[in-house]
Amino acid sequence: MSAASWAVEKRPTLVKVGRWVGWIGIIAVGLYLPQAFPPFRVGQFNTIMAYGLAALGLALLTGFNGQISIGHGAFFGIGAYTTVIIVGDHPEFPWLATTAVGALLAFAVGIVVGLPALRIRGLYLGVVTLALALLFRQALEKYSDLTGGSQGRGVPRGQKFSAPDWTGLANDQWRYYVIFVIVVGCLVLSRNIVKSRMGRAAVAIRDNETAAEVLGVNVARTKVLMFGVSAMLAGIGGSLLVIGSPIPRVSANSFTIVLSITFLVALVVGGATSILGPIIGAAFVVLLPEVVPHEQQVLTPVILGAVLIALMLVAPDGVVGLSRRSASWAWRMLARAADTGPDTGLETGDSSKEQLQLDSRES
Amino acid sequence: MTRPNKRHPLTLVAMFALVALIAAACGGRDDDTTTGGGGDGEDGGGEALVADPADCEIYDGEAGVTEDTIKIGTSAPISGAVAAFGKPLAGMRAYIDYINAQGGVDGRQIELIAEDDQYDPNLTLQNVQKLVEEDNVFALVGVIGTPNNLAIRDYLAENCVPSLAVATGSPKWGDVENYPWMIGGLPSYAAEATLFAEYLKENQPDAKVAVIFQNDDFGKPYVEAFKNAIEGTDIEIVGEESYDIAGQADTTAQVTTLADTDADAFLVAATTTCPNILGQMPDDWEPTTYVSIVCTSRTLMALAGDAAIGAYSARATLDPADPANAEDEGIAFFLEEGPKYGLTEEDLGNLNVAIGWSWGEWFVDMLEESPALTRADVMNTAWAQQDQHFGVLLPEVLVNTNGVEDPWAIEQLQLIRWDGQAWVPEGEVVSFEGETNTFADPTA
Repeated sequence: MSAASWAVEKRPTLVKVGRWVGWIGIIAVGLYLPQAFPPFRVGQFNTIMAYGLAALGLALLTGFNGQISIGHGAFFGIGAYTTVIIVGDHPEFPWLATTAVGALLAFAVGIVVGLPALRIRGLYLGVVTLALALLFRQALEKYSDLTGGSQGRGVPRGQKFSAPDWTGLANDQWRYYVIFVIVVGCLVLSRNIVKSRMGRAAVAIRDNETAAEVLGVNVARTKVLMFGVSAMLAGIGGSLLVIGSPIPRVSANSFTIVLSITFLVALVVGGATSILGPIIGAAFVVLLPEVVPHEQQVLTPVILGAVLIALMLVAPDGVVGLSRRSASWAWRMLARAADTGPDTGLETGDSSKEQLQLDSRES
Repeated sequence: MTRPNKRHPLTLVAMFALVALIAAACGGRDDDTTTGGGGDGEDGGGEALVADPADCEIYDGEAGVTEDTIKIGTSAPISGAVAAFGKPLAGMRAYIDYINAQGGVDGRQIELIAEDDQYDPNLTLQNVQKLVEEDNVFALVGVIGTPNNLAIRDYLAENCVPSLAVATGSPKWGDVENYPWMIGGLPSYAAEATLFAEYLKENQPDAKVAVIFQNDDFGKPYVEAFKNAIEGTDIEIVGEESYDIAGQADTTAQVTTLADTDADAFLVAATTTCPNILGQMPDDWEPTTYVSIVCTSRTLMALAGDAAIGAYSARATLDPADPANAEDEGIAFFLEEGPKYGLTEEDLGNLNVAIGWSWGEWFVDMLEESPALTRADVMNTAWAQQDQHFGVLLPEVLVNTNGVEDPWAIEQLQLIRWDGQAWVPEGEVVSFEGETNTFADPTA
C-alpha cells in the first residue's frame, strides 16, 4: 500500500489527529508568547484577544446565523465601561466579577436589540445596529457624569489588575494568562454552541429560514438567543480590553463606529464560519499598522480596504476558509495520486452544511 | 446517526492549558530594566526635584540616547476622521530635519518616530507603550488631544518618560504635583476665557453674557474660568447652553434660546462648530462675541462668512499666512527654512504647522539647555524655563516656568478681532504669568 493511499484511507483519523496537534500547538504558542515579548507586545496580544472575542461574537451571529450587526462596538463598550465604572467606584470589587456583570449586561442589551431583528433582516438590520453604534457614542456623551464622556474615565491611579505574588509573573504576563484562559474558554463555549442543537438550528435559519421553521426550529427564540450570546462575547471582550491594559481607562473616542467596523473587518479577514478565524482576523487588524511604514500611516485604511476586496474575491470565507479549501484540494491531489478513484466526499473542518443535514434528519 | 461524542476534546485542551499555565507561572520574565528607587546622584542636586526619578516604578534615564542619535516619539491622528488635528506633526518634523541638517544636538541626530492613533485614546496608549518599550524613545513631544493625553499620563508618571509640549490647552496639565512628567505646549483654555472676562470688565462692566460650550473637557474649562473671573463684578451670565460634539449636533435651538436672552456678550467655547454657531445668530442680535482660540483658523472663519466679522478671539502666536507678520524674525525663519525641509506652500500658510515647528524648536532648546541628556534633567529643565522665546510666538510671549508653582509655559495672550479678511490685534498683550492655575482647578 502506498503512503498516499494509506493517508487517504486513514483520512478521518489523520484529520482528527492533525486538528489535535494544531490546537495543542496553538495553545503552546499562546502560552509561550508572553515569555518572549516585552510588556507592550503582551498588551497588544491582549487587545488582539479582546477584539477577537467581539469578532467571534460576530461570527456566531453572521457566519452561523446569517444576521448582521454593525453595532458590536456598543456591546464591546458596555463590557469595557462596566468594568471601569464598577472598579473605579468600588475598588474592593474583583476585576473578573465585573467581566461577568458586563457580559450579563451586554447579553441583556443584545436580547433587546435582537428582538427587532426578528422582523428586520439583511441590510435593514445592518442599519438598525448601525444606529446602535452611533447611539452608544451619544449616550456616553450624554451621561458623561457616569462615563466621563469624551474626556474618558479611568480607575484610581495605581489600581490595576496585578499579578498575585505567588505566581512570580510580571503584571502584564499575569493579565495575559488570565485573558488567555478566558478566551480559550469562550472559544470552547462557542464551538460547543455551534455543535449543539441551537447551533445547528441557527445554521438552518441562516440557510433557509422557512425550511427551518417547517422542520420545527423555534426561529424567534434561536435568533434572539444568538444575538444575546453574540453580544455577550463582545461584552466579555470589552471588559478584557480594560483588564488587559496597564492603564485601565475608557473614553468615548475609543467607541466610535470605526470600532464596530474594525470587528467586521476582523471577521471577514479571519473567516465568518470558523471559531479560530475571528482571532486571526483580530490579529490582522491590530498588527497591520505595525507593518505599514510610519510615514505612510495614512495608507493603513487603504490597505485594509484593498485586503477586504481581495478576500471577497479569492477567499470569501476568510483565511480559515482559504486554508480549509486548500486542505481539501490537497486531499484530492493525494487521492488522485493514490488512484483510489474520485474524492470520497468527506470534508475537512466543521463544515456547517454537513451539520445542517444531520440536524434536519434528527429534528 | 450517532450523537456527537460526549467527551469534548476541547475540554481536555482547556485543562491542558490550565496545567501549562501553572507550569509557565514558575518562570517569570527576566527584568532587564533599571528599577527606580533612590534616584542616582547625578540627576539630583540637593534640592527637591519637580520630576523626581525616585517616584517612578521604572527609571531608565538615558534611554534612547546613543553616541550619535536621540530617539523621540509622538502620537497623533495621522489618518481617520480628525486627521486635520495632526497638522503640527508636519511642522515638528520639518524643524527636526532642519536641526539634523545643522549637525543635530551635541552632534546627535534626532530621530522622530510618529505613530498614528486616529484620535483614539486606547491607540494613543498602545502607541506610547510601543514607543517607550520597543522603540526605546527618550521622550515624547507634541502628543495631540486632551482625552489622548489623559489616557497616557499615568503611564508617563509611572515610567518617568518626559512628554513635552503637550498639544492641548486643558487646565489639567497644571496638575504637576501628580503628573510631573508632562508640560503643556498651548496656553490654558481657562486663560483665554479669563482674557475675555478682563476685556468685558474694562469695556462692558455690566455685560449680560450668553454662553455656549461644548459639553466636554474642552468647553467646560472656559465656563468655569469665566465664572471665576467675573465673580464680584456686575457682569452676569444670563444664558448657558451646551452641545455634544459626538453627533455633530445642530446648535440652532441653543443659539436661538441664547439670542432671546438679549445678552450683549456671547462666549463661544466651541471647536469646529464655530462657523455654524456664528451663522445661526439672528441678524438683530449683535453681542460682543468671543470664539475660542481653536476657531481662529482662516478656513473656519471664512466658512462663517459675514457672520464672523467683528468676533474676538485670542492669540499667543503670529499667523504665518498674514503678510503683516512677514517681518517677524520667527515667521521669516519659518517661511525661509520650512520649504527646504519638506513643507509645502499650503503648510506654510497653516498656523498649526507653524505651531508644530515652534514646538520642535522649543524641544531642541530644552535638550540643549539640559545639564545632561537624561530624562529627569530634561524634564526639570522644562520646569525651570526662564524668558524663553521660540518659533512663531508673539515677540512679547516669554516662557517662564517654575515647577509646581508655575507649570504653564505660555501665559501671555493678546485679544484679536476678525475684520473679515484677517485677525487684527486689539490692545496690548496681556500677561497672566504664574496665574494660570488659579483660573480653573487643574485637579477637577
